[in-house]
Amino acid sequence: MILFGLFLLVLSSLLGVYMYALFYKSRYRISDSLSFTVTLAAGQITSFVIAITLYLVFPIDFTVICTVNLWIGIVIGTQFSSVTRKQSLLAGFFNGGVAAVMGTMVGAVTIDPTLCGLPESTLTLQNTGIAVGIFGLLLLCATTLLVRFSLIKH
Amino acid sequence: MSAWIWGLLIFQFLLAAVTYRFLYRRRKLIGFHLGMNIAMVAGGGMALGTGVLLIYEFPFYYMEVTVIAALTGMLVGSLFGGMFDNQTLLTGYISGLMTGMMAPMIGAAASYSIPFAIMMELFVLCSFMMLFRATKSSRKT
Repeated sequence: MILFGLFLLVLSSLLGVYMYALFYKSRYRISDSLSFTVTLAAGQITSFVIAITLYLVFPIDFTVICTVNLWIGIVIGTQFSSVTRKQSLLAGFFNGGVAAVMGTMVGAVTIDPTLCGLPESTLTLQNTGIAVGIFGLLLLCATTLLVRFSLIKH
Repeated sequence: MSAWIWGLLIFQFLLAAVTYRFLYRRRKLIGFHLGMNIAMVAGGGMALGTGVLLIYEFPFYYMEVTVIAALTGMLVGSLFGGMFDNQTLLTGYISGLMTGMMAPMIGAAASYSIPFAIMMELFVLCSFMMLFRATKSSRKT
């Protein structure tokens, strides 16, 4: 489980770096509103998936993991939003942090569904964790493809 | 425990009121993009703080707390966005609605720990401070 989680973490970080490189390379020839949209989409989905995977790897204490994830999400959102202009820095900061907190919450509910008053899952812990991790990775791949399409087409 | 919760709640509403007065005086200087960001941050931050703090105080009233947090987010987002434009009003409205729906779930998953609430308020405070800084350094083109 830990090995699988670390593998997912490396893969999602590589996808995020690829998106950042693509965005950085075409920063002079895109308009303001497209850069705002790409900032929101890429920053939110990358911090969301990394937060889910980090909670699945280290399910010890919600508060500590949530703090760490919050700062990681803030750094990712700020990095994405400081590519083009400083005006969307505020949106990147806030939305990266909120997406990281929501990803941690999704991970916590996956591990223990009785937190939100839901019934116990019929699957075992390993199966649920692997399914949610693969779902997050697919989501990140789809978003990367969409961002690449919109940046190259433009 | 209860004093912390009500103190943080009053603190965040005072922060929003001070920010609203500050922005209302210079709303003519703020452009379209910055207005959109301001509406999103104000609505989302107030909904997040209200939902997390109120589910700590009333753990058995999940539905009522969700409704109150969503209404707070919608109201604050519409107020902050309505200073500038129609589209910024819509952005603040929908951002406050979504975050208000999510916030009590986060508070319930955090198992009612006070340090988490203090850190959340710190995050909202940092966002509002960045908002002040962005407003001061902006010139409408």
